[in-house]
Amino acid sequence: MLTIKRTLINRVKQATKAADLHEMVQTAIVLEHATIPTYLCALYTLKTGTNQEVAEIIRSVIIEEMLHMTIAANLLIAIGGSPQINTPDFIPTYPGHLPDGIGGDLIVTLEKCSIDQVKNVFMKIEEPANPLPLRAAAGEEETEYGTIGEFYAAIDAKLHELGQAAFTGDFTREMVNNSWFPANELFPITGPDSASKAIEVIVSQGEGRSSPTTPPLRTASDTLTAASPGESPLDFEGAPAHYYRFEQIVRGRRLVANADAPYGYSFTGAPIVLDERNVWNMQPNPDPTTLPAGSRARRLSDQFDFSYTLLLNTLHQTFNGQPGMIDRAMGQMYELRLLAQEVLSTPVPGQEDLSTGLAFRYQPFSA
Amino acid sequence: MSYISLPRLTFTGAFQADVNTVNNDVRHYDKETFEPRFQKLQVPLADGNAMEYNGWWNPDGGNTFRLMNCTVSGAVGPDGAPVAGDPVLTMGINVQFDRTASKIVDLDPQMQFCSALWGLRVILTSNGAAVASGDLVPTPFRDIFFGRLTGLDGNPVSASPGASARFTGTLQNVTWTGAADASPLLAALKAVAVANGNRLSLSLMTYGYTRTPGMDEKTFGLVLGTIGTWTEGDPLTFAPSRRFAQPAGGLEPPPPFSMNFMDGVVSPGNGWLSLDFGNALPLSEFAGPGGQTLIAPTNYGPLTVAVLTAADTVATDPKTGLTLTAASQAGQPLTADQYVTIGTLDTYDYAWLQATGGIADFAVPAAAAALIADHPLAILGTADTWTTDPVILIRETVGGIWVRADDFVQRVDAAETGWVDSPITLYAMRYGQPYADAPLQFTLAAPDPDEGGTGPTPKPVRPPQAPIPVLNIPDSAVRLPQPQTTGANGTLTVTWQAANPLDKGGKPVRGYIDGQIFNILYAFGAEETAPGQSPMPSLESVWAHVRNAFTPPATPSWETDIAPILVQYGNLYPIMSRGLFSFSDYNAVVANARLLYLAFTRPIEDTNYMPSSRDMSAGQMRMLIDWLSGYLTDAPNPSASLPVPPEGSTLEHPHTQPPTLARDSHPTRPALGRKIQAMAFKSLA
Repeated sequence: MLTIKRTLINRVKQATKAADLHEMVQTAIVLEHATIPTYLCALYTLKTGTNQEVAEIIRSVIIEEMLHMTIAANLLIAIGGSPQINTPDFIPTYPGHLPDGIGGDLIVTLEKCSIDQVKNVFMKIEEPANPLPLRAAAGEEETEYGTIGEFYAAIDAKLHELGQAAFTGDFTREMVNNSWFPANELFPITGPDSASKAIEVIVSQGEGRSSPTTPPLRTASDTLTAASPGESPLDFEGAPAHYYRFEQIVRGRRLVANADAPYGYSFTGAPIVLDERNVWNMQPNPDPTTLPAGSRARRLSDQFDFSYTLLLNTLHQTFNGQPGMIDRAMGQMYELRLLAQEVLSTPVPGQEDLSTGLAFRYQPFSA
Repeated sequence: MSYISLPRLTFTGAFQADVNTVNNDVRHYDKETFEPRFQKLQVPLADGNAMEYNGWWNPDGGNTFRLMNCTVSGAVGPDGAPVAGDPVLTMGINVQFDRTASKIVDLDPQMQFCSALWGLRVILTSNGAAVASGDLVPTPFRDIFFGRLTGLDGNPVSASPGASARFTGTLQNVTWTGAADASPLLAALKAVAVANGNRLSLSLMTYGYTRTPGMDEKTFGLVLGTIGTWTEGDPLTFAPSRRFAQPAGGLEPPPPFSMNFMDGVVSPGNGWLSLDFGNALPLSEFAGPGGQTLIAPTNYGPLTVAVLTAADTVATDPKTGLTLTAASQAGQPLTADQYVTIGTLDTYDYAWLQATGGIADFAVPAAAAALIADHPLAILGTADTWTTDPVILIRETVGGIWVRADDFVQRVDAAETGWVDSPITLYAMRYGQPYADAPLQFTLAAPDPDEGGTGPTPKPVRPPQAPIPVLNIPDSAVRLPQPQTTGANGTLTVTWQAANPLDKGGKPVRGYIDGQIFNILYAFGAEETAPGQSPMPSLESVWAHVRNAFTPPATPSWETDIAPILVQYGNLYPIMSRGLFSFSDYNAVVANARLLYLAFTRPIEDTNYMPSSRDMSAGQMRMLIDWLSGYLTDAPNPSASLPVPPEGSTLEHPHTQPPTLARDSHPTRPALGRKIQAMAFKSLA
């Protein structure tokens, strides 16, 4: 579980009106987006038509992160705020820390898909909460960091405390188009109860149907145990939570129900192979400004950043009064996927075996 | 008014045209003979004289068109003087803002000479913030100029890399922010735009395709853009102008000087003559600073802009139309009494081209102003290398007369029975003014058996097995307007009619590819009397794709009805199956029904519209959407916004007579043929 500066959690707790929460919910939007580029980067480096199981796992997580970002934006709209999505600081700097101290020392990188990247970055991002310091925290003195789960729980609690009066937004501005997400995941947020339900979608999909303070522990290399009865690696829809989904790639096996395993699940399902021969050898954490000006690599790299920024423009409009713009954004997402292949199939000048990288930088000019 | 008029601004930068080339060869539309290798890159044979074309040079193209790195490079004020110190000179040109890339699309694999831009939004920015923006109406290119570029090695560059073209169109829905007010130039443009339906004129001149300096890679090129004013009544796809043309103008202007078609505009009161050399002057590569290869106009010495003292003769005959007789011809040396100089263009180098886009302004001296309203303009070569006397390099059309169809690229759905109307609006001009009462005649071009295959060189190896369909047949499927004259404003809107283009057996006439291409010619007269002007040059005509009528079955099935359409699409656009999902895979299609439904229900101007080739008939589209909606529980009512196949009219249209079928009697306007096809816009053979 990602951690977050406790000052933010405390600010949520200290809020006396909905407007006091706006900045914190905006932080949630930023956070939910922040991991998408690193996951997308790995996904795009899988050559099209190959590595389909791995691609499907990563894609499924990305789609849920997009859903979470959508829910957070809808929540901000519901309580009278305006999501800010196409600003220069909306995209984190890679490699680097996540914003607002989220994730503590974790360095999020943009790299090709590899076992190491999944294990050392993706699973770290999605790791369930560490029980020991949290239990200490729950009891006596507070640590500097809390968990994202706590953060969302605090928002949830505060919204119930403030009650319906906090929901002053124009609910018709929320994006609840069920063409792209089913109605049990994406629904209008109009009061404390629907807000709770929506927050539960975020938290559950992220780390399973469990209390954020009781994470699973490992007892053997291929089994999974939970810290308390009733806990499950599955989310509310029965799909593995993100951490376990990624772990399947590292372990090379599907997570399946297993009555003999201590908590009913083990990594003993069908093989999942990451065929690294079919992964673009992307330059890690690319800096387009180091590519020769005017080179094909530079133009395409800049264009990719520009197209990503255009997508943020459209999403910004989607969540600022034009929810129908989500359809247009969908087209942009597919364009980005095609453009990524064009970038990755272009070698870095002078390094024929190295693919030009995807930088995901804020690039408001078609430079 | 137009992009040539005063005031205007110029921008320069790069473009990407990621055109798909599997559809360069019409035979690839035939599913029965389609081979997997048609999705692969072409393979030149060792000796260089033969080629296995396969999917040509860019089979993974997605038809995207992007402007990149574009910045304002110059501007000219309403007074004809280059602008200095105006904030507009530091601005950039951005695109799209909140949408996918615009698309560049042929009319058809058998008509690739009027590829159009769809969905381009142009945004003028200052420090990243929008100052003005507008949406380009779908804009085909015109005046393609093959053989324009000479390479560093001194040899002419063939095919698209050596060509240039102009995309002239209209920006609509133009909006401005307060930042525009700080620029006198923009304030001047804005004043005209606001008074004229919030529109501006935009022209893009594309050149150096795949030879962009510093790049040896495909799909990129250079662009010079010009933005000027548009006024109510102006055409949407070209500048109403004074037209310069070569005799027997083809796609490759003849030597010695090889200047392409160009346009000029005289300001009200005859004070200024603005001439667009941007797509007219031959170009050469040269080694710039740091060894970078740059492209600039070839230097042929000073050019004199003049008005000729001898007027041409124009005779009108009610039967044959106009008879035009030129008082002078290109290549002719002139004595001093045969012209009055307006100005000279002494310097037209790299910096000039970048700053001006190739448009030059000349204050018209009094002696010339007295002639300019009814005498032809000409560009004279005066360098010793040409002649001791000034020689006409290119001159205005005979009698200053020309005519152009605005909506010259048409997509028409035929009906199962009867006729479907389609209008054409033509603008006739005489010395740049509306030409009232101009007689116009219409003919259908001759059957053309040679379009859309591979060219003769390099010699094709293992060509596709499908036959190449013949164009312009059956002539019984087209009814042309009778001869008519333009109105007082010089325009004429006529209606032609299309029937379902079928063969003698009642099957779609082109067999494996939907519809038919009909090339409708327009001209001032029936006889060719003055080279190059009447009838018009080979591409100066209307090109229509008449799609076959299609009535969807009540319950379409995947195998019989849907798959044939999507398999063909998947064959032609391998980027779809490689980058997204396979269009021939039922499960993949159903799994992506939502996305397909969205794409197939977009307005045709939308950048996400499918098929991007914009060639699917209304009936097939309706069937596809209905079928997809069966897999979507909450699809909107399909009948609400779907394309509707037209109902044909069996009544005589008041503007039509029985088909005028004068076959191509104009030897100067040949069918395009294989030789030309080898140089198609998308050809990089």
